[in-house]
Amino acid sequence: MARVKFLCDADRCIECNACVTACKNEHEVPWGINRRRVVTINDGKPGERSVSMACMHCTDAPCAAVCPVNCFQTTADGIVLHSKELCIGCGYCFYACPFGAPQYPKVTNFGSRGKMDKCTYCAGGPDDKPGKAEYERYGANRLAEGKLPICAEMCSTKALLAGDGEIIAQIYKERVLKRGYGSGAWGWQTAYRETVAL
Amino acid sequence: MANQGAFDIVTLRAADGPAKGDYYGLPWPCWGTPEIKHPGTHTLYNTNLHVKDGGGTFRARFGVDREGESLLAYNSWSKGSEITSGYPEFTYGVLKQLGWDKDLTGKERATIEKIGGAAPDGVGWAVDLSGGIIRVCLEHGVMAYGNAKARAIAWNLPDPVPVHREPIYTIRPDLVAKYPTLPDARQFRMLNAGLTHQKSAVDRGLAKDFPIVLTSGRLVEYEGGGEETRSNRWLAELQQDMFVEINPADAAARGVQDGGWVWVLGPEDGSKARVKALVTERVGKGVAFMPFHFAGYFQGVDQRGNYPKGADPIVLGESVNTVTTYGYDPVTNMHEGKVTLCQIRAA
Repeated sequence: MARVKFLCDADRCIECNACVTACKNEHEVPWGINRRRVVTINDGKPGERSVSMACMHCTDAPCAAVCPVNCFQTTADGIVLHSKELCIGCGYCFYACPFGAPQYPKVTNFGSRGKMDKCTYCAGGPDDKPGKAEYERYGANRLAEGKLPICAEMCSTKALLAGDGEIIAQIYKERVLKRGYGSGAWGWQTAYRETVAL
Repeated sequence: MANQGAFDIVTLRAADGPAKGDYYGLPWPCWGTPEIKHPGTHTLYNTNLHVKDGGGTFRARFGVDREGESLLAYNSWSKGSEITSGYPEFTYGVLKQLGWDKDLTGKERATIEKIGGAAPDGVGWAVDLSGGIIRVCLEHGVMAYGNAKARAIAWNLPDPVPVHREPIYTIRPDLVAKYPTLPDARQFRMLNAGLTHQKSAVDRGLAKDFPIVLTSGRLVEYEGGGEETRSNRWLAELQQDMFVEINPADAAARGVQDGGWVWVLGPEDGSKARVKALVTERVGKGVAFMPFHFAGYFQGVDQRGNYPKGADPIVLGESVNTVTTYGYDPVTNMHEGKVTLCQIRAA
């Protein structure tokens, strides 16, 4: 079975936030919770780059390593899902995550955290069958419908790629060869312990 | 989007399916009646294609000659054209001269003659409701709108060739004597007093008090005045505050902090807008930028209560037009409210 990944080509991302908007709309993500966001560095200076970031669905995911209730599991496709049945909102995964992916709704006036929410690679949740209950808890399950994550599908410049890691790495390699430059597959070394050899 | 996959990414034409033969992204100008099934003219003036295939010529829009020189195309026509030279816009009269009027159907001819009344020869392709003139032109491989040259001298505009003119409100008042704006004039029904405003601004030394060029523009999240898009919760969350982009050097000189509130002061009528500062090198020193998608605050005061119940957008903010200034295009009389001068102060 394929190992699915995300790849953001920072030489193509134009910070249009279509991925963020598509994600929020697809999963009805509430105000203040961002499963995906676009980070811009060197704003307004030469070398400015934007990267679309969400859960990278890491190999040996550090969130899973620190979770005290073992709510994380990795699917056969390599997608890291977490159970909102089990999650206690402790926030350890937020500290462990190198990408700032875990998000927590505020549930009381005292700032205590609700159950963690993050990108599901549009694969729904680990506990439920696709349907209304799963949608309310985890958002849409596009993978069950044979579709790829909406963020990458909606990307206006095809900077954000999702799918079989080997295929998207190949697409990226061909792009870099054709245009003659590439700042690398951002986050791959951290998430997947490998990079796209150019 | 149902047939998106059928379109070739180079030619933009659909190879098969229900959209076969069409160019991607209709409606491009499609010539003639629906029955002709013209595929669309996505690239105007493409002489490499037959006019039935989406090819075209440059419209004969400004007459056929000027000062003894032909304005029609020279050595250029679209593929398969029966006329291998320039030609004017088509009328019933032009069809007759070419002998092509015999190709009109009886019904088309009757419609043209009815429209023309006493002078049917003057009926042009654009008013021919039968579509017959366009149809006959396409059959002969020519464009009904003519085949002419582009012009570099726009003789009917105030500056036939563009020349530099200082803005009405300029940070270089020393250049105004050499590069003044156009004289005051009555345009359409209105007075366009640009020169009076420009002279007054120079005489008052206005640029000393308003030393920053303020330009306005768009954000990717919002559209137009922004009432609809600021009412969309996904978009509103991404841009929650009206702001002004200010260069770090200008910000430091004014004690302005990134994310802090500032007053942007406009050069007319003591206008002012209270917005957040975005200190960034996106703008150069002496330049500030404000988006024009906000409304709902006026000179620091929240107007949310004045919206009809349920019609208030999620995000409100100062309108940049509060601080923009006088200026009208001399040809269209359209208001030029995009760029002016301003001063910025920490609020």
